[in-house]
Amino acid sequence: MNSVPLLEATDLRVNYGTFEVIKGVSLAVQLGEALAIIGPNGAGKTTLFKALTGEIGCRAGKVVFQGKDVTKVSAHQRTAEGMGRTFQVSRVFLELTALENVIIALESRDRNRRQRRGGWWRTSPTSGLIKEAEALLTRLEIGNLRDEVATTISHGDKKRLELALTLALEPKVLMLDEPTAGMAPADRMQIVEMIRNIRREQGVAVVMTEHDMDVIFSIADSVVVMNYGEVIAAGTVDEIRNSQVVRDVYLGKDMYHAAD
Amino acid sequence: MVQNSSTSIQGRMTTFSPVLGPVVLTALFAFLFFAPMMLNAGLLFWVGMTMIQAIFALSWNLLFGYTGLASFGHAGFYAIGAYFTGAALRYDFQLPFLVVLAVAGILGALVALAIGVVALKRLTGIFLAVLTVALTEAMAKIIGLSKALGEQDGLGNIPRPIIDLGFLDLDLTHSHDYYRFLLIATVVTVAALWWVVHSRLGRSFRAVREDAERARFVGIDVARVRVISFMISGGTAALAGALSAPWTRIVTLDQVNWLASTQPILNSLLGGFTSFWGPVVGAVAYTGINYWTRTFAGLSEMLVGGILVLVILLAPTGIVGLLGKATRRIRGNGGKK
Repeated sequence: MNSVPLLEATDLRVNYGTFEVIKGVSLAVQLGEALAIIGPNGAGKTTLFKALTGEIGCRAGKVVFQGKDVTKVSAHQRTAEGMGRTFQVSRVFLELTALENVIIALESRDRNRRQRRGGWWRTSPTSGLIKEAEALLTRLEIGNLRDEVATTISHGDKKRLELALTLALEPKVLMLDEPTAGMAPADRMQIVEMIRNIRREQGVAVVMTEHDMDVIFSIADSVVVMNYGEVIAAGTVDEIRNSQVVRDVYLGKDMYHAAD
Repeated sequence: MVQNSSTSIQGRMTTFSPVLGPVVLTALFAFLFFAPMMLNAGLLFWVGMTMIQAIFALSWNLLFGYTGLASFGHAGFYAIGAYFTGAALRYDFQLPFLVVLAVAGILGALVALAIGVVALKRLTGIFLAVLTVALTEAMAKIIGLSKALGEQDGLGNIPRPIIDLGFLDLDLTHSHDYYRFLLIATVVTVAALWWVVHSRLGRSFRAVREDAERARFVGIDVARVRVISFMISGGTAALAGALSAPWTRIVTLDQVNWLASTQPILNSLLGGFTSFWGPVVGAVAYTGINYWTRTFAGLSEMLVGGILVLVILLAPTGIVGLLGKATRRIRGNGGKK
């Protein structure tokens, strides 16, 4: 654990106008580690997430990814370098089919790696790329939705499709903003199983925010607890579970309220 | 659009049978090719203008329908091409005509690049719309003050070109000859645009239109994609203008105002902006409406406006969308749900 962290934030500060939302947060994610960021609604989890992925800028502090300072690097560039992100309310290309969604992600990956497949003149993706996309859909158990337009598929399957888009980029770290928000309990456990499998197979690191403690305890190695834009506790899952501070601030409350 | 729906990876409506498309296109091309023998000079002029308007509308819809950006000053690009080509021919720039066309297109693309670099990174939606309108109006004012460009009277007496191919001269002075050149240029341009929207690049356009945020987080450089789309669109609009100058033989300020900018928008909405061929269908339909109502002095604009309102209210996906619905109903399966 004393090697260079995969992702490291140092004294990150984010403002919305004059209001400071993130007040000097530091955290580190090791290669292959799964870190959960928890805290009550409004604690700044999603904002921290946005700052880490480059969706919003930060006023001060530093984000280092794979040893490189990416604080000023744009979101798409961070994505190209290996940060795969999902959203709280899943975002996919709604008017395109599941297959086209994944193809766009795969083509983007190849473009960023400057690996073009097939001649420049061709309009359709190569059969290799289509096979790869189909394999991804099958792996996330939505192979049957290949030609369905994304608007018509269910909430849970959209989450799966979004995960497929993200995995298509072969990320080093999966940034999951409430991966199971708004899902039925059975569906939740399936997503958890899927994320665990992905970690096992690819050794990809995970940074997630989540409300559901069962989900956190099944996936995460370590936990960062936030309140009012600050880290109030950090440690392994067991340490956090037994921490008095965390119990006072957080665990006493209803853990299962839906995300906003 | 011609696709096999079961293996479609293009995601557009696949409402027509795969045979129909090529048949319609071939018939259309044959009609257009032999049109000079069948139509009088007046009608032929309308047909030529329709082809130019079709390219113009396609260029606008590349931006709107595929990339999700609306330009309300597209006439500015058209005018760049038209005035440049008009001046090049009138003042005999000593450039081969094909080079003049290429330069006109490149000029349009460069202006789009300049606007894009300055504005598109931050400004989308209404800001881009207003900015393009303002720039086009500014351009009209400048042209209105330029003696070389004919001030308020326009640039008239534009000669038609003779293309020197080395081994033979293509004399396009006669309207029939220029018409055939125009037809071939239209086919080539439409084919090029078709390729663009169906290529890898076109898929990244659609990703940006669908959800720019998601596109960013699959690693697409959204600003860059938008600028590229804007450049292709502006360049193509300028090319449409460039092709128009020797056809109309006069370029006037009427082609630079905001009303001219609404033309490709109306054509795209009328035909259907969700389909590649929509703007073409719209340009043809608009010409048709205009032609049949031309004798009702004063009533013509109202009829045109009224029909447009009807189509847009009753069929938001335009004529192509309506045809698609109709064919699905006839086949009786109500489409794939």
